[in-house]
Amino acid sequence: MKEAYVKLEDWIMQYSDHLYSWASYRLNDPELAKDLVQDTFIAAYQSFDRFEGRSSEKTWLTSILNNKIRDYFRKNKHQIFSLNEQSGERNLDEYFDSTGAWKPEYRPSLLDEDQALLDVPEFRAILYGCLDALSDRFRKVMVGKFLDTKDSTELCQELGISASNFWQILHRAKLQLRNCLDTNWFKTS
Amino acid sequence: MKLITPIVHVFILSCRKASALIVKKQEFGLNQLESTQLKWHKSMCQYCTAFEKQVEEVDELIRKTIEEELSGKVLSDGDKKKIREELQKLVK
Repeated sequence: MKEAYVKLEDWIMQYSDHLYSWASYRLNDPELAKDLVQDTFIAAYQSFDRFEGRSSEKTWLTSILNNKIRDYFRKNKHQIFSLNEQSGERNLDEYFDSTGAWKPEYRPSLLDEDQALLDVPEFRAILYGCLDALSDRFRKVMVGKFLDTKDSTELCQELGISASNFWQILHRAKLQLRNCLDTNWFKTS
Repeated sequence: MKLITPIVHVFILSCRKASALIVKKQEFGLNQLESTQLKWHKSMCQYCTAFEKQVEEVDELIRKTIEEELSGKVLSDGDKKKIREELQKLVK
């Protein structure tokens, strides 16, 4: 496994900062972020033969880290906000009636001009919570768009979906994310 | 609104379709027909107008938080050394 170690040393130099900043962003705890980055490299070393080069090294490491972060949240019962439905990938019929109109409970709240989404810590906490409540696929589409300025073609490849599929997934992800924020923020503040 | 809604949807768009176009617009842009349909729909539908605005704001906030949080956070050389040492323990 000497070969794997040499490769890993190289990856630590190249990618640990990126992984660390991503982990601290998600966890908001530098020490915990360091631990999970270390765990990520250890896991990468242990499952090195399973890295097939189908995704980039960075993507592979990031996906290991994301699993660690999710495990951490799960173990520590981080979900402090309410989702009014199960958090799976909901069908569009949940949001719209047979004529295609918004169902009353899913209608976007009509806000005053000055009631914009507030960029305050409390809101960010809910935003993270709502992002975490999305299914894996949804979250990857929502967040992946902004990471590494990936273009949508590359992102589709990584997720193994077609472009039209990407748009449909994004549609559902945004319906769900917006509704989660609406329920947990607008309607309670 | 009750009576008008179904009629509006036949000639213009349903909210279901309009919300899909809103997402498409933000990612890929719309053609002339889609763009006109969406404009008409929104002129009559306050909910889809609110949907578009809120989704734009959420996108912007996600982009902003990710950019902010990702910049300027690095591991010290000592931290990286520690990771290498932990790995070395596994190499036999």
